Amino acid sequence: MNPLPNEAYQAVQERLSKLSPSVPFEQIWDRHRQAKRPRRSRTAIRFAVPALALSLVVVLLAWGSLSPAVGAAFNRIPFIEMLIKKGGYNNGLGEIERLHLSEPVEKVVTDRNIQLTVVEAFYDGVQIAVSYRVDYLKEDAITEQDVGVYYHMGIQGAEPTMMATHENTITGDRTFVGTILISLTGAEMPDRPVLQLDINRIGKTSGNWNVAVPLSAKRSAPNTKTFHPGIEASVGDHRFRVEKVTITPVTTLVVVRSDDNELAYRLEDDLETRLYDAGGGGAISGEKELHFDPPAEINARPRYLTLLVTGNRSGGGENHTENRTAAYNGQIPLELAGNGGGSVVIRDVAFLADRTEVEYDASDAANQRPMLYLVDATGKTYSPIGNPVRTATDRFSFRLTYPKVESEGLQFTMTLDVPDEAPLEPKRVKIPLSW
Amino acid sequence: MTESPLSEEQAREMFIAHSPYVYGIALMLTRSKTLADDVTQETFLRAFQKYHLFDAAKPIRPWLYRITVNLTRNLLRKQRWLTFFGQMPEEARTDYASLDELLLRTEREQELWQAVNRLSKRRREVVALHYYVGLPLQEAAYILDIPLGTCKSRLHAALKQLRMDEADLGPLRQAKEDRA
Repeated sequence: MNPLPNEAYQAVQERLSKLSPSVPFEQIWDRHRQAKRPRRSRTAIRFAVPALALSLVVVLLAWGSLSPAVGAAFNRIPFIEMLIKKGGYNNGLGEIERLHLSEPVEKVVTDRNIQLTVVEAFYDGVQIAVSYRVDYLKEDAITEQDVGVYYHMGIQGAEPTMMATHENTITGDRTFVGTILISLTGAEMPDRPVLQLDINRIGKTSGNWNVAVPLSAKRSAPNTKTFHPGIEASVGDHRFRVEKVTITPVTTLVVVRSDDNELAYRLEDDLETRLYDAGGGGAISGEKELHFDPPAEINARPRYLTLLVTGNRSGGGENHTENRTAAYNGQIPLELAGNGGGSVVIRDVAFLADRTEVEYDASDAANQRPMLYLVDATGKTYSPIGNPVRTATDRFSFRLTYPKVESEGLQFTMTLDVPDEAPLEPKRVKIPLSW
Repeated sequence: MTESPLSEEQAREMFIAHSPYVYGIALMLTRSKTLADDVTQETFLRAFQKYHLFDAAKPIRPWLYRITVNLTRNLLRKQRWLTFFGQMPEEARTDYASLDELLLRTEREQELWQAVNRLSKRRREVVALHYYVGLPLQEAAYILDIPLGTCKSRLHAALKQLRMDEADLGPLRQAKEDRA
């Protein structure tokens, strides 16, 4: 039996045949041609693409407690913390503020009664985080339309591929602050790189706030180490070679050379702790740059990493979803059944002034990253901020951080992706690290 | 640099002939115009880049749609994790209005689609490809990378579930026999 009455099904097919994606053929063909070009010409073209078009996230938050004064007050603005809270970025970024890895910049450009101050910049060879403040010098209070920085970017004397995202936060009647997070791929960087930000619009005002930002890896360098494993392996017919691993306080960069873009990669430390995909990265001329979280603080210098490589198909197996729930009534521990006969045991919940921290033990590596939500008495669901952080080396103990929730009527909900077919085993490539 | 086996004109023809269906499949499976656009762009980009691996003696449609389905599956898996970790609001994942506006214009069609949406992902894929896109079961099986028998059993289970869904069953009872 056809679930659609004939006339309906024909009408839907007729409409389907007339659909039109909003991306024109020319744009896709251009991307295809650029991807085939040798590295230099491709990256030059990439620079012409406004970073804003690549990725743009603007989240606004009223937060009027800061003094409008400039200067030393800048140092008290937790730029990266704000970025993480609003963007849910990977764990490594938190290290920028915790270890004070940003260099002060304090470059000021004024045009059209709008003052841009670049306050600080972080750089570790893999990523750049530039934090800025925008002051409207006119009388009127700003609105959401006044928030936003539109920029083109480049590195003076080098041609890396750059991808960027950013967050802005209103901090006063006429002020907002923000951070641009830039991922670098595919080029040797100068010893003392200079980031050129060409800013031609702030909010709804066009103007010129171009600024050159000197970058220094001095603060991250003591905790940055590069390895050249040169390990070759294969998955099915597809060969690949692990060319380079760079571990910085913020990112683990793995460079893999392969003729197959379909391969999927995951990373573990020597305690089977997953290092999660940190975004960014990219592929040029068969060389793929993968960005992961840095090793957990508790195991900052693992003896080796394991790269888990699968073909595309093995990642596309069928799953179905099952939910587990447990009500919190002050009694701990709470056990939730996990995958493969394993479990997740909630050992502790800390209801803090600005957040909630949940400590849990997974029975095994496969259950170390549960999809664990908090649901409050009103039924509102809370997702964690960032990835789980491992807290013990002798068992799979982790901490997840959530927004502040009330303990009364709290419920834990764990969603499991249960595979219907046994997934193919990934190829495990051990990468020894000689520190 | 080696010469591409695919000329711009061939690529354009491929895009014109298949982009509505590629976009439509992605739209039905993702329920988001934005994501469907992303999938369409990536599908053709992948097809242009991998064209040298395509056996020109075979029809291109199943090859192209298989790329679409695989990209959609990967994207949805990633979106789910992004949503879980708060990097994407839940409401950004779906945009039922787009689907209604573009494909399902009558109340009856929308009710039927809601019933199809209550199916599991794998059953929904078979129903979408076979009934909504109008592909033969054998081609749907190839696109979904499953044996024909599995495809038939999923379709059978989907129809059984749809028949049991009393809320949406009224219009279904009027349907004619399966053309497959």
